[in-house]
Amino acid sequence: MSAAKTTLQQTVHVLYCDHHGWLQGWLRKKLGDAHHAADLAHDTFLRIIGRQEAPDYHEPKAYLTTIARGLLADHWRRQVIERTWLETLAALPEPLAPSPEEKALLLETLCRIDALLDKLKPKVREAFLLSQLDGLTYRQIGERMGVGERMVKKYMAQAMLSLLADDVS
Amino acid sequence: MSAKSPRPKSANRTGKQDIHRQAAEWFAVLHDENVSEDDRKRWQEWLAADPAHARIWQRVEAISQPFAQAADAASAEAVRETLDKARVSGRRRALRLLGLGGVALGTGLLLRQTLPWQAWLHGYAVAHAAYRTRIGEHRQLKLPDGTLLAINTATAVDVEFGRELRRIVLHEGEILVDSAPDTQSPARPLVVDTSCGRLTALGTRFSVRGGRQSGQVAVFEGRVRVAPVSSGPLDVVAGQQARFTAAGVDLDGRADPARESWTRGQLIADNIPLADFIVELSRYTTVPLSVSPDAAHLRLVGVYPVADPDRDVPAILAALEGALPVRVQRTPAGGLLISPR
Repeated sequence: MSAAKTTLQQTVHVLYCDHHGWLQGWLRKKLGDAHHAADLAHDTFLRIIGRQEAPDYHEPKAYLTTIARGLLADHWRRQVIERTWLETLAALPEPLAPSPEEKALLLETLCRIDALLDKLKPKVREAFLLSQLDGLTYRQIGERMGVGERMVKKYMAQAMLSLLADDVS
Repeated sequence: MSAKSPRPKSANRTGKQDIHRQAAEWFAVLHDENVSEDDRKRWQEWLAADPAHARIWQRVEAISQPFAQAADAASAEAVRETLDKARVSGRRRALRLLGLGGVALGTGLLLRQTLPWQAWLHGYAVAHAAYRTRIGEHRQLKLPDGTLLAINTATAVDVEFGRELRRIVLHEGEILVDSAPDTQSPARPLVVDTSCGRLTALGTRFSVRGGRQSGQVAVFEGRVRVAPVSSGPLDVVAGQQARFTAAGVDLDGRADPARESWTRGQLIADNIPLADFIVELSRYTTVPLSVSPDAAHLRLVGVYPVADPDRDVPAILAALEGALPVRVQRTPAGGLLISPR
């Protein structure tokens, strides 16, 4: 284990001991729910560790709430997705409706996809979805979007490049 | 196609941005319906050229995975409709651009792999693995492509078959892979990922053992390419075994038959020190086993059944008393100590 990592671990540890309780309280006020508050407080620290850079412990509360706000936004976003998903399913004819397990699994997948697509430009997003979700060929996508196949390929590469750039490491 | 394979010479100096760009271009090439055999070959060369390429590709796979899952679902259209209806608001977008929002993509796995120092994240991966065996348990799985996966005692494994890879993730413990040719054409590489590196099967039967710090591979048929996280790859051929860490691979003599025999419920001692055998046996029982130093060097030859450890481990210990000048005693702490008679 390198010295830098040890230090990071110690810093996170100190941050956790000093402010975990406070953060959980802050989240509980925002959410009005102790369970979710505990989960999000935990996720906040996971996120800090995932960043692999020294947290800003000079302004610990501001630092923690900045990250926690991002997670809150995710949480609320998730609720929007879930509601929309259930509405969409409710409108499906009976035989097409997925099983309860499938519903839950697909909701997870949906949230991941939604988070991924979030930062893509509209055309890039559309091309990527037509290929990856709808299974269209580049030629079909080009026809649908009124662009050449080379452009479709370019959109696909752009999509993956932004997705990679946004990834954790 | 527009993606260029980096020349081997420049590979080490290629920046992260460049590797991202190359990976993104390969992604676009491979999903083109007009992808050629030649493109695929060059992509494989690119993958093999630098472990950093393989690592990035792992992330490409992880990112594509949820899309593939949704596309395969019967209700794919409902997924699409939901996504379009719930288009993202401006505020959220701003948060994201600042890097503040955002579900960790891909997700847990990547995090776990890039942070081997985080013991508890590793613990999380183990606890949430799709296939886990208890101490003393072993099981066999047939994967969707026909590959046989044997899972030894106290092991945690995930299996992820994507569009471009057949991927097995070994979090800890030991597996034996008897690979089948891919059912899809063109064939997807079959890989085993551990926190120390990636093993690529080249038509083969091999076992992998490992945890967070190090791993061991024994090859019984074909060839396995071992690519540690931060060093160049090495091919291990049939009959050889090797040890690896994140920093490198070292050949380690001939493939030990014991690394295969457990799939038949057998523990093989091929003229090994008693101490080594007891370490091996300890993997099958929760009772702490130890050897006194003056018995540790005694050599043991034999084939012992461990199909049912509750029954077999005591029987093996009794058999040891017959085979070697030792006796087994209970320790005050509740363990068992093997010492000279």
